[in-house]
Amino acid sequence: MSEEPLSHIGCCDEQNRQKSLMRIYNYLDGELTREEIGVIKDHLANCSQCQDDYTVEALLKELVRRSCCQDQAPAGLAERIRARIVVERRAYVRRTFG
Amino acid sequence: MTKPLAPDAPESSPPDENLDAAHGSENTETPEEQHARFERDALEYVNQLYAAALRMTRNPADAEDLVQETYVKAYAAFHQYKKGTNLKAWLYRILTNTFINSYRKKQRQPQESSGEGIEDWQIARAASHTSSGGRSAELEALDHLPDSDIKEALSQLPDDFRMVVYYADVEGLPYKEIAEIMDTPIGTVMSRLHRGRRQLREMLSDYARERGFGVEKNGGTAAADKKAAKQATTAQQATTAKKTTEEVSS
Repeated sequence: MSEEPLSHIGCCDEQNRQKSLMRIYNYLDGELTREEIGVIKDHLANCSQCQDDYTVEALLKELVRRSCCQDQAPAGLAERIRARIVVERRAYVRRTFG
Repeated sequence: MTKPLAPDAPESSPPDENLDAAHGSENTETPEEQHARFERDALEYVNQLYAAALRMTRNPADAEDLVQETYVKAYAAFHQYKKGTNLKAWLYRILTNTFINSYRKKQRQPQESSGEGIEDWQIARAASHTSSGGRSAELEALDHLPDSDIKEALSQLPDDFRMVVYYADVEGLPYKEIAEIMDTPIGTVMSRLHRGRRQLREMLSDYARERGFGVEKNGGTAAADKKAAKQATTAQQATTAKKTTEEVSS
């Protein structure tokens, strides 16, 4: 995903911060190649600001996942859908075969 | 609810790794067999689709309607679905289109423009201000937030940002798949993800501060200031927490 090599110098100034964050997202989201993973791991070990960002972003990702993964469909929704599909099917048969 | 069927169903389904499975038998399948296959394979995703619909619509009644409508459309278009391709992504795409075309229009709160106008550098600057209070303090503060705060912050994001964050973080979908589901280029997915996450981090840091979890807005060593900040906020904490709860539940 990342086209340019990572530099430890100036990676966290205003302009480059976007790129650094994007690489961190790509890493967290599993979008990097094995080779790119090696590069970013090496970078994180040497850049405390990026390492900090990585830690916070990893937590945020986990928090979002954790907060939403409990949601369950209301009881009977699957049955209500089944019933509607049967109705749709009958309507289809009527339309098609008169 | 008699709507025209399947205007939102995708023409072709997103490709999947195990594409080779079960091709060639399509022509021999009877309508009964197809019906049974739909019930068996598609209805497996009711819970997942409902959870996504709940994030999109932000209320259970609309979420249920949206999921039902999605399944009716999917059923009507099921002959277009290619066996062996990614059924979940295909369903998500119908869900997303249905939401955009019919539900988003009737949502009460205007959400469209609340994020698109903010420049990335402004968001980055805001984030770095927050973080100057000490990363470990920010981490600790964020980790203490209840799930209701995370959901509330998510609900404040513009729809497109919220959906991308949801698909990436909760569903763990690759960018390519999200791009197909939302019918946008990968670059758009990445920029929405970026903006959505920046806004989320800002909001959650604010919530943590309101709850008195010790995130300093303008720096200072958080560890040293923490005790004093805690004492100062203890009095406010009860009222702030109460206020936040009311806001969330209202």
